Amino acid sequence: MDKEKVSNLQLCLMMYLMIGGTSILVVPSFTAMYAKQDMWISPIIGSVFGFFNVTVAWLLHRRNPGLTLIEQAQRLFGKWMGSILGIVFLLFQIDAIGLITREYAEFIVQAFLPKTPLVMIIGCIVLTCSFAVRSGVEVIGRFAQIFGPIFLCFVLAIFLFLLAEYNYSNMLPVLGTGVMPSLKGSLEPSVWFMEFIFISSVYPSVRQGGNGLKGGLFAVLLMMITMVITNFTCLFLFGESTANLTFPFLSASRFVNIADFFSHVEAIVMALWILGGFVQISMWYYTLALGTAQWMKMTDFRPLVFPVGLLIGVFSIWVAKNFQQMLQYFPTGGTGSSIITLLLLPILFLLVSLVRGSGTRN
Amino acid sequence: MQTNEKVIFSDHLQENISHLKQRYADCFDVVFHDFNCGQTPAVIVYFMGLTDSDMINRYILEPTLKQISKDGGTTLGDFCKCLPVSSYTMIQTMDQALMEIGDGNVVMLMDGEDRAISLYLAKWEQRSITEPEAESVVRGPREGFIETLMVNVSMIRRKLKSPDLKMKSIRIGRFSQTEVVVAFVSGIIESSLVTEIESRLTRIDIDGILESGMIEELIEDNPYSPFPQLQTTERPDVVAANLLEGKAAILVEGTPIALIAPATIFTFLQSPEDHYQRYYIGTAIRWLRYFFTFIALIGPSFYVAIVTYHQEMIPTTLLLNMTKSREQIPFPALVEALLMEITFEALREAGVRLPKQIGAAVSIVGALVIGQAAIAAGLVSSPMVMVVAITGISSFLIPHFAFGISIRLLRFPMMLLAGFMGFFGLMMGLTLILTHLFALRSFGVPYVSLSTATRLSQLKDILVRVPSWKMNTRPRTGVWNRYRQGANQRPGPGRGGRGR
Repeated sequence: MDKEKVSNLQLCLMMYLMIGGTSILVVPSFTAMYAKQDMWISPIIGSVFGFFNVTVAWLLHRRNPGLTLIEQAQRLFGKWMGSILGIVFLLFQIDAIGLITREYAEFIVQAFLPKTPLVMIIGCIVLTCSFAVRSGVEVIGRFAQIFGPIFLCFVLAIFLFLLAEYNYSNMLPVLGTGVMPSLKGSLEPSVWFMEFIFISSVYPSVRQGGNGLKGGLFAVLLMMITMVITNFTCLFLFGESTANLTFPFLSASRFVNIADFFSHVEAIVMALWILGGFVQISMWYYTLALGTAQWMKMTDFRPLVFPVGLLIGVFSIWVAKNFQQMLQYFPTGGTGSSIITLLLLPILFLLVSLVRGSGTRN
Repeated sequence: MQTNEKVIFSDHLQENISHLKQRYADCFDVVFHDFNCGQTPAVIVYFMGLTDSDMINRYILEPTLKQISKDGGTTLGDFCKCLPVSSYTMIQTMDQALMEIGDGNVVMLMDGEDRAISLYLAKWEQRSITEPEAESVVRGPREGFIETLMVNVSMIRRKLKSPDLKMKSIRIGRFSQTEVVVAFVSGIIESSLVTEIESRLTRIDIDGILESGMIEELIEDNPYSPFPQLQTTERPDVVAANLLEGKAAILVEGTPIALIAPATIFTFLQSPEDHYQRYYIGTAIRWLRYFFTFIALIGPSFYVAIVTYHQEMIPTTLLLNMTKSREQIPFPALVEALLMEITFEALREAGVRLPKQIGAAVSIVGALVIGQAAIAAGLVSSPMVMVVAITGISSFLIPHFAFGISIRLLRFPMMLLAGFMGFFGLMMGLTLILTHLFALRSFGVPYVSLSTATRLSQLKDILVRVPSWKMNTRPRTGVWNRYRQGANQRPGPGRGGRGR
């Protein structure tokens, strides 16, 4: 379908940004809710699911080369069952991308443009991303290659700029109440890590000879490091009260003050964040548009870009009545549906693929 | 050209001449000169002003009347061997004859011959080679292309003497029949690029080509893009350097501006001098240029966004001063910025078009308009004047005019976005521009080719300017002929000399 190719490095950074942007936005407070002072351990535990899912996606890709999850479903389960499983993925995706777009829009409205209507922001984001998606995976790859490192650098920079403000005793006692709190806390980050299964939409576009498994695993590692750093920043700065903040990392960035001149950098933080967010939404958008086109057996996904974009805009308003409701959804329904769609279904895919084995391989 | 069918010469001189005369009806500057070559009647046809009549007298008529009549050579073949003219071609069709005459050559017809001979005696007035005005350098060759194609070709040939430097000629334009030359170095260039360029050139079908800009517009990949997709230059050394990097040059008769394809965004941010200066300086200047290109694009919009939406970012003392100076201004920052930027562009344009004597007047008035007077009049605030001035200067740091003007143009939508949505709008604009840049291709080569550089060596001439002895590989050529120089070129005592 798509002759455009991305490199292994681009794959890695695309996946990093696809998951990364929102993870540092809301995840620290969810983790802090359960894990308290052990919140930095939770992403490490959660990343297990990331490594696992990337491996599953890679094995599926090796057994069904050149096919995305949607196409694999039809190949493994036949026409009817495959279509039903395909639409499960698509519905999950449109719900997820609606949530992501909404998160960004709420973030911008709450923090910076309080008088601007939400719909306006959502419309702008979706429109901008739709141009990137129409240009294809190669263009998103180039975006990721430039913004991935910038994104990582800015997370690191905020961590380092705040060194003077930290209260390191916040992290004590380590594992004071046993492993359970950090395990519970890891549930939320692990949902983010599970989303790495969508790497299978990009695998067919990776240039021949690239070791996609390594790229994917490296992306998970980067993601884990990023999450640990953000959690450390919030923990050292706010302690357990991180749980009460909506956007803890943004609040942390407000504390940056260098030589009384370089202060109040949150607008720049937001700007860089948005750049990462554009890549993130474009990636989800691309996966969804591509998946829908494959589900409908179309040869090109480009005619679907604008209709899908409209749906994304609408869904991002439908997903929740207000921001509080949306935040409520993440640790409750969101986790459940994610585990079913992103963890159990791929395992099922892999099992069926293993059972049918050589029969499906031509 | 009225007909497309090929008219072949007939045996009879009179028929040929009458056909030519019919085609050249009402052309006062065409000359038909009858004379006898031995016993055979002959005619030479040429344009006054395009041909050196002195040379016609000396090298065609004089030997003909003196010698050949004695020897009695009466065929064209014999005839041209006796002439002291170094270069000639036999031509078979009437169209060919018309083209040769149009080029300023002398076409000679003889009775009893169904062909003609074209003698290269073209000579017309031309500008002498001068320093290129749009691309001046402190260090580097001082010669620039001129309007005559053959001179330009010779300037490149003088720099690259190898027979691998190929020059292919194509005629474009129904009426202008402009000669266009595609130059490349075989063995370095990918052959598919040459075929692509040639096929794009041959499909052009318009009345006339007056400047290479018209060709550029007809062969670029994305005709709707605001960015130039071919590099333009009037420097032979730039053309030669690019040919050695595996690119192709397109030279057009009648203009000193050559085109180079494919182009990437970085070619527009490099000056030939980067490679002639020391590499530390080259690298530093390159980064200065990148930075100010960015400022040229987002300078005013960044200011508008900060003043309108993100005042908390400004250090307090500065904020107080700025508020004080903005207090008197009736406009919002966006209007103020648009006002000043448009005025600045108008002044710049006026300065470019006017004769030099009046240009001074413009700059005096300009200094008043964008300056203290504007602040005193209460129209704009002083920080705004600073921003406009810095942006203006930064846009002049871009070495290629065409790219600079694209950036200047994009500044305006960016200002609007920043004025309406602050940093978010700014980022949206940047993302849109980057999306376009990332998707853009010039002759199949990605415009922003940072990402195709899987090997770091591709960045050697982009992020930094590494010393010449380190630039071992050519950018983006096939696997063959990757190395542009011998190994171990680093100089030093004991290398090359005796090691004193």
